[in-house]
Amino acid sequence: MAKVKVEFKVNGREYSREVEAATRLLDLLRNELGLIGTKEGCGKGECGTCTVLMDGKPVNSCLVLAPQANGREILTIEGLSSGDRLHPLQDAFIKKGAVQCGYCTPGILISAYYLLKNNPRPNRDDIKEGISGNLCRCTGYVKIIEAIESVTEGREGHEE
Amino acid sequence: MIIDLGYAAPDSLQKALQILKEDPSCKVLAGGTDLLVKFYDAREKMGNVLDISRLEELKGLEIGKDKIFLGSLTSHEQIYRNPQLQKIVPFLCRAAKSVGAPQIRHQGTLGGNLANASPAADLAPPLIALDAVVFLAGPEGERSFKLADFFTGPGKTRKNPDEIISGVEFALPKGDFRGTFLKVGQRRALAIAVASLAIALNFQDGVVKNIRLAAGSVAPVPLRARKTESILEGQKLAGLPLDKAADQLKKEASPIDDIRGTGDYRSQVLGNLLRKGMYELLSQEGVRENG
Repeated sequence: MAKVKVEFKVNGREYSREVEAATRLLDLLRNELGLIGTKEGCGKGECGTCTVLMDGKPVNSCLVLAPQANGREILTIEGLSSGDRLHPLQDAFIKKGAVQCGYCTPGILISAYYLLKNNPRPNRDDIKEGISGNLCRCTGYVKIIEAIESVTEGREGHEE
Repeated sequence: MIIDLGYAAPDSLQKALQILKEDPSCKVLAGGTDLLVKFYDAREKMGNVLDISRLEELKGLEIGKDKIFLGSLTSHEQIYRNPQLQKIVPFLCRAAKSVGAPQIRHQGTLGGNLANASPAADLAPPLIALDAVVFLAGPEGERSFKLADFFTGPGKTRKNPDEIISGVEFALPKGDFRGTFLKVGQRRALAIAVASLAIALNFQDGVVKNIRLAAGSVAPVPLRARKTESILEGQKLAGLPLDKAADQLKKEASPIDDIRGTGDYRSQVLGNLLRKGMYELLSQEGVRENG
């Protein structure tokens, strides 16, 4: 089958690939670009571990066709840290013990990043709402919420 | 202009309609939150995809003096977050907020929610209660239907395969307008409605006027409950016949048993939603029972 050209930006870098029309953005990221930080969970938009930002908005990359990403900008978990320096959210997740098996973590970090970008001072309800599209079956969410809360504006570097 | 790569993302509505005319079997893709779930097990069977998500003609949200028009590519998030809509029709925003989770709300569209024609579509009840009209663009031009008459069965509408939903329009509510949307799901996020109900009405001189009721997940289509409306229309706010209305509402509905709930449960919930919704509207500020 003929292939569709996808030219797009991922984590600030330009890519050009030819894919079959029915390829998902998730598959393009993982299999073609080797960006395996983004995980596949349910594949049906329920668990959120495949969450990436497309043109700055959170989407389930399992529900986006790769050709839809043509001309768009994608942010994946690999784009959150700069070099060896972790994003404050990533630091907070480690410090607060918000990671257990870790499978949901990339998606939750992207959702949390989007939340804080648009609402630097969220309350607990805002945080719960912000990560409501991300399932975690290990932590019970308590540590995740605490970790996100610890990097909200005015609380950076706050130690208990 | 037929799709030779299995995928086309035209840059104008006219080109999109041309493609659809040549191949009415191609799958129209807007947000993809329903389509990709449907073909999760067999994406190779999806066939040709017509991606309409880049059509500027279908974007935008116009709030005029008398009417509100929502382009079919308006996302649930855009409806939920719009400050003017939150002021004018907060119950529509509440319904948009109840869809999925942030990811689904950013990606999923109004047009997709209606075209997919799920009896549980969250935007259908409030829009039916607002007496909205849905516009279709097709090769012969534009057609429109009252949204209440648009759905014909689960997954089925009056839209022809060569037509695309272009948007939805409703009159700006006037006078002492009140509206609410209530939804019962199995959890607080990512929940598909077990039952939902939208109520729109005016409280005029201590009397219920222009009441419209629309229920989700309790019939093959989003249901406008006209017989129940007629029980409440013109009644005084003090002593509304709510029990009688709730009984009638249950009769108008025909809920089925499925994985989310039994028909009996849905029926009971529906009656309760009517009582709860009416109490909510009656307890809002500025309601006077005697005009």
